Amino acid sequence: MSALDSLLWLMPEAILALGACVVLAWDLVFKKARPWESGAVGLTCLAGASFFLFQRLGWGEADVLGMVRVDFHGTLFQLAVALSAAAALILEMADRHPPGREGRTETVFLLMAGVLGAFFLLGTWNLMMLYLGFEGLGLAVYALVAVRKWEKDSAEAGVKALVYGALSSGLMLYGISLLYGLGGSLDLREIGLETARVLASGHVVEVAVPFLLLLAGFGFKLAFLPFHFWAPDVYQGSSTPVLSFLAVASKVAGAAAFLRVLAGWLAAGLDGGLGEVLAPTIWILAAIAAATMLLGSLAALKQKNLHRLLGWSSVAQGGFFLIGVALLGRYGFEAASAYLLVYGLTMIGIVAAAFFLSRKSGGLQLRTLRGLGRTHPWVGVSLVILLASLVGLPPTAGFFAKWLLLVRAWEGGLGWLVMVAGLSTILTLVYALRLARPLFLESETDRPSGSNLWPVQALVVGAAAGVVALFHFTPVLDLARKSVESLRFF
Amino acid sequence: MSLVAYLVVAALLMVAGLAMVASRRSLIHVLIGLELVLNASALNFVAFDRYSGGGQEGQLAALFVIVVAAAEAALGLAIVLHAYSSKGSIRPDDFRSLGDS
Repeated sequence: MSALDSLLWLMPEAILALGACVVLAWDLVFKKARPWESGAVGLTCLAGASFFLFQRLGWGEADVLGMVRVDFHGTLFQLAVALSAAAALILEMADRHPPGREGRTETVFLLMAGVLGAFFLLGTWNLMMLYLGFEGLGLAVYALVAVRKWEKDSAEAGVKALVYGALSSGLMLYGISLLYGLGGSLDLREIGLETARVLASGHVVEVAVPFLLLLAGFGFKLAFLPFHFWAPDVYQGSSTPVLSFLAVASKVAGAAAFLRVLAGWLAAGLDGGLGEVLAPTIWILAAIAAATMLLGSLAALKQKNLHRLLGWSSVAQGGFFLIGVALLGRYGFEAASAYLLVYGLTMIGIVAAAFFLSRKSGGLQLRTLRGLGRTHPWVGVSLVILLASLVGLPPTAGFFAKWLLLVRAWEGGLGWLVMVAGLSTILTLVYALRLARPLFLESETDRPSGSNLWPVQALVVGAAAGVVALFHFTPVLDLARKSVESLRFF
Repeated sequence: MSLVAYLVVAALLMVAGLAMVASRRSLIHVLIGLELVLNASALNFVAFDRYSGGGQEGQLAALFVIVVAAAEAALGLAIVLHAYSSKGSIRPDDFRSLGDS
């Protein structure tokens, strides 16, 4: 493949990298640039990248420059990340909260840099590339959390994101270095083959240690137990646009990359030596999934701060995703991918709705939800639909996404996990009702309003419409199936 | 020296880094600990590369790790500086205002 051909394959990445530089230079070159201009440049680049990603979905597979892997799985989730980052960017542009334009350009740049990191995280079999993508996304997130220097919680949230995030990626890197020693290569597929051979000769510890270290890295990114504790604090301390990026783009990217890593491992191992360790691995992952779901939804019950509640809720949703992962098989991964797509769409809408909370009390207290459905009827109704999708009630896509996971878990012989998931769903219903009930009561005053909010309104309504339209679940299922097929581990 | 010696040193570096992060005395301590963790991995990469006799993949990986460590240290110090100017302290225990209400 010539250099020019590779560039064509890497068009989305190239657009984003160039666009990020343009955004950074924009305010320096145009001294009188208005605050929204850098955001507009960023949105244009994301739209361009999404366009090429959409094209690339149909292009088949390629190994570009020996490091980057283009396949359906990677491209699909890159598209999901680009779209959710665009949603975060729209929220950021609509946010007139910051005095003047301080931090605006930086936020746009960091969002784009984070998306670029996520692209490389998602599109590679090479563990070094994977780590660089992981770290690129991570560094952008730490900076994004702390970028609003005038908000009092930004420092604390930034410190927590940095310390726990950097620690987890350090542990993961140590695991990668051990795997390199084990497999003699950084390519995940070759490492998988070698791992199977090592396992077959009876050395379990040599594989278990790096596996657990990698699990720790992804565990922090996806916030599952026992690595979840940073998530509620960081979510609480970050602004709504950044929360949207954290809860959707960052999480979806980490989760999809996790699927790829496990798939690479399974590909080589299923007919090889993996047989004996398969059952304990499933058991570990299932136990983590159960604990994460229960703790996340239990803790979400008593929260008074909306951001914090969303943080715990997103922990619990990560647990649901893990059900599919824990099955360690094609059908489980399909269900997990479908769940991930639906979760992303639902969460984009819910976080965007959080934008309309009254800022009178300073914090994002739940009681300021009162009357949102009266002052903004469209937002109110959409939020109810989105919450239904979060719980998994028909007629929304969330219903089938959860249903599929539970059916697969039941078929996989994890009946107890289905029970736990059911319990967690009931708890989710309780806190969703707590959110939905005050919507149509008498209104709180001082709600943000104005012409700049229509894109946010459109985002909430669009997400709700999408969730309802996808009650016809076949397209999501097809995407998930094709994406898992392109990982080729069965 | 054998490969095991390098691996033992790397493991010790790793443990020392984790201990520094866990000690929670000051954020600078924590940052240094994080650097040690990264350097432990870099040492592993180079050692494995040397003794596996293969290509230069491991050495390249170590170079990338050094770059990442530099980026992380720069960003980390920036955040610590911001934390100091807003709280007047860099003790991790002083960052407790976010939590269940």
